[in-house]
Amino acid sequence: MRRLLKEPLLHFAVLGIGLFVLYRAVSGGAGAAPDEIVVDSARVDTLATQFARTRQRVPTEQELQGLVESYVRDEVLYREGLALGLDRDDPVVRNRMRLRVELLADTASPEVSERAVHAWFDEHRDRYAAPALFDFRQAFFSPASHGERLDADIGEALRTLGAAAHVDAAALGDASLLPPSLRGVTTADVAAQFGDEFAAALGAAPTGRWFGPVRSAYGLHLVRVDAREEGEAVTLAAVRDAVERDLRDARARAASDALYARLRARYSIRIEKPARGLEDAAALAAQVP
Amino acid sequence: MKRRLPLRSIAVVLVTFAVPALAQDAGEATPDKVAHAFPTKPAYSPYVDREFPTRPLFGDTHLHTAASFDAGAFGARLTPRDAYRFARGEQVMASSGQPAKLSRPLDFLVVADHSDNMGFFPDLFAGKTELLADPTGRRWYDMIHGGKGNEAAIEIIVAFSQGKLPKALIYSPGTRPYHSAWQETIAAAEAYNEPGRFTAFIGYEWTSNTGGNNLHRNVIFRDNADKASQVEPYTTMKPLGSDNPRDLWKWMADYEQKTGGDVLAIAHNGNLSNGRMFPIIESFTGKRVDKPYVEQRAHWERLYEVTQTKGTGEAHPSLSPTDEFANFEIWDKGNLDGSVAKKPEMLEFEYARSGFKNGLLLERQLGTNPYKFGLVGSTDAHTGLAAIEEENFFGKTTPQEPSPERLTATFVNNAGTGVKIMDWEVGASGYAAVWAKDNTRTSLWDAMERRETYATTGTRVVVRFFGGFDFVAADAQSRNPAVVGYGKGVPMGGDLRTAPAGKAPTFLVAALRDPVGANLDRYQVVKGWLTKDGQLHEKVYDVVWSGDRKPDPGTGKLPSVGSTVDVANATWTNTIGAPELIAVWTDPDFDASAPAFYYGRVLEIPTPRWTAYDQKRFGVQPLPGTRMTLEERAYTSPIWYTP
Repeated sequence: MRRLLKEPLLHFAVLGIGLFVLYRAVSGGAGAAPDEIVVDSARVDTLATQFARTRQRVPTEQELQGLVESYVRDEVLYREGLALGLDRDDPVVRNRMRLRVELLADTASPEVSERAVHAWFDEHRDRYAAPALFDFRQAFFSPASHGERLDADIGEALRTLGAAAHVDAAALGDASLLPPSLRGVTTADVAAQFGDEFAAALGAAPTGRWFGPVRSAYGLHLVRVDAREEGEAVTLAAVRDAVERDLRDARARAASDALYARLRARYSIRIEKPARGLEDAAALAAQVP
Repeated sequence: MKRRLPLRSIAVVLVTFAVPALAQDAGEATPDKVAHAFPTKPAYSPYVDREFPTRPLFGDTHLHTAASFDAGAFGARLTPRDAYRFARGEQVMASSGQPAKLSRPLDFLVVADHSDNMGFFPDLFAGKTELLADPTGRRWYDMIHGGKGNEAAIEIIVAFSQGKLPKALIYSPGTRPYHSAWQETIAAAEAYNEPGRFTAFIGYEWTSNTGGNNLHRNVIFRDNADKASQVEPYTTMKPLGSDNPRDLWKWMADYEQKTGGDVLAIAHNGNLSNGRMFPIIESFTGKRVDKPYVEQRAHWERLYEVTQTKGTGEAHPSLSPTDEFANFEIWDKGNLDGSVAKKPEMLEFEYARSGFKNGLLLERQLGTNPYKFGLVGSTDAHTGLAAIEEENFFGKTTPQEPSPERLTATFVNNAGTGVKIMDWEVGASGYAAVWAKDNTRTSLWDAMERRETYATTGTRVVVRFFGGFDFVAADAQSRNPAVVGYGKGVPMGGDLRTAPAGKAPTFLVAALRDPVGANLDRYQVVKGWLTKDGQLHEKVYDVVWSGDRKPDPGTGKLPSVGSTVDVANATWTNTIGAPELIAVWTDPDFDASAPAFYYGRVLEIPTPRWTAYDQKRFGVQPLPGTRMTLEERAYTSPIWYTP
């Protein structure tokens, strides 16, 4: 008897029965009537069809009875498991549930409609527009080599450039590996070579005259935009694949976030500080090999 | 102004001669061919477009997503589509639940998931019944969902390395789940490939790993879905696949034959191959490499990934004891899974520089240089995130995404061999820089095939390297070295043959710092050569450097550039170093009878390593011995001289 009292299985069983009783008490007891199992005709049909699919024949009466009995057994044990809360601390079950619920969000996002495609395109037209192309020249002034004369030297160079049409502008500035001129480039290309600040200034620059100084990642520049060609008006037909791709991506993410937000709103959530503090927990984790 | 693809940007100053379209054939770039591609006879119109690349395109040729079985096991949830979106500059949610974004978009990306068991992991994670029916599959599933994904990943990788994956868990070509995983890989690349703006290559990794010895190759398609979807990737597991590179080359040849398409293969991590990456004796036969081996290797493997998260493999300090910069992000403790410890005699067959040297020797013996490869860097990240900037490093695997733990955690620990690698040893490296004219699959792929590439450890420094016999000092005064470089010589990856009497090779070298990066310390040329007596030699030359430093008259060594790094605050300033370096260099020790190779190495001034940023941002003390600074660098593809 003593030995039996030490048996873990017994402990488990006692604990289980206790939990079960508790659950019944909390969930409203007899009034909830959770103890009826109905195997309806649709279920029986499904069981028979599943059998037929694997065996390539219909089940006999006896076999069908066995299938139903097995289903009932599943259902009984499943309900008992749920009642005991065995699903709650099983990480496999929890993850499987989470995945299935997230899948609900995915299937809830239907094929994109023609109207939605147009609306998305109108709203994000900039994203698909062919970028403007620039032809420009630049003269570089290194702060290191001009020192205190930097502003004066740049001012003088700007006056020289303003006064004469045919001046080798680059020669007025300092030697540099930065291209003295580029043709047909986008602001993204310019940013990759000169940095964002310079590219932004170029986008706002006047055409046909020298101006500056403009700051780049390397120093200061005088810049002349010779030509700017705005991107051609973009049509939906030309970029349809990209539009549909981005719309679907956005829909899927939004649906999943919205579902979660909706579900989360049903709960009041209270998060308590860990008893031992995070640093203790980290120290403990670090000891585990 | 004629509208072109946005990247066909053309420099117009110094228009002294016109250059028609660069020849698309990807053969050897000899002076003759370059002269044909860039004739020096001026066209009547001085405004005829010049068609050489004006800026390098940066990308990653080696990125894993959740579709790779090990990445998935480590906790990666991002798909190939997420990976392409991130590389294009979009913000995504990392698998560790924190938002991630690049400082600047990349120009191209190859999602290269492992071909063995492609798509297995997403199915295991989702609990596909067939996989859970296997006891091992069930155990791994439980571990992953029980918060032990890390341990599961290591078990899965070890089981794969040792060929002990249960049969029921092997996803192989010809099966439906494998087919759909490959088709999804292709569909993702097709969806995000936008010629002129962003290139999404179709590719995969062939993961030959017998005994844990890394002989991995990434296979990259020049082609679109119509051709790539006619095949399924080559795997390593028998009977469908093989772990022998010769069989991969045969698969590549068959693909080209069947579809009329083009593929190339890029090997990586010789440092974890335990002496097998650049063999003289083939590990599969125990015999010397033969004529078919050297010819096929030279044909199919024109690039090598020299730097990535699992170490940098340009040179090893014990192979190059006088090279003070050889000791950079070295991983030399063992093979990939740490199951066999390193022995000194393995190193010669693992590092790019010794590979280049032995290639010269094999060419003398067999008529073809099997190790005539150009250089790229890439991430090999298993997170779907090509994020390897030091201050924006998302690690090699999902558990190594930013967290207070990664400064002190262990990555590999093999008790049997004593091989132990800490997370802090993982490098935030690297990127592939490609001198392609247009940002398209074909233009980038052709530039890779002609080896007009360089590797960086994550910086976007611009590097030019031209070789010829006629460069003169005045060429370094040019404001646009590409014009004179292509006009009088060959670019990186090219060939010089038959030196004119009395002339030595000359090189026009130039580098411009990353617009948001650190200044440059120096530009070096590394030379290797083979003398008549069969001896191999190497030497590193300081060619041009910042400031007015003078080489030590006794040792010839240039003094250090110094350091401005404040490790505690993870900051530095560009008050030392130079924003750009340019020079013409003539080989002072040239022997016209000795075959040789030359490549450029550009060093930045010291900057904080990712470990310094972590220490600052998480307030965690690093372990003793943790490297906290580094000199980011670039390695160009060599130019070969053949008498």
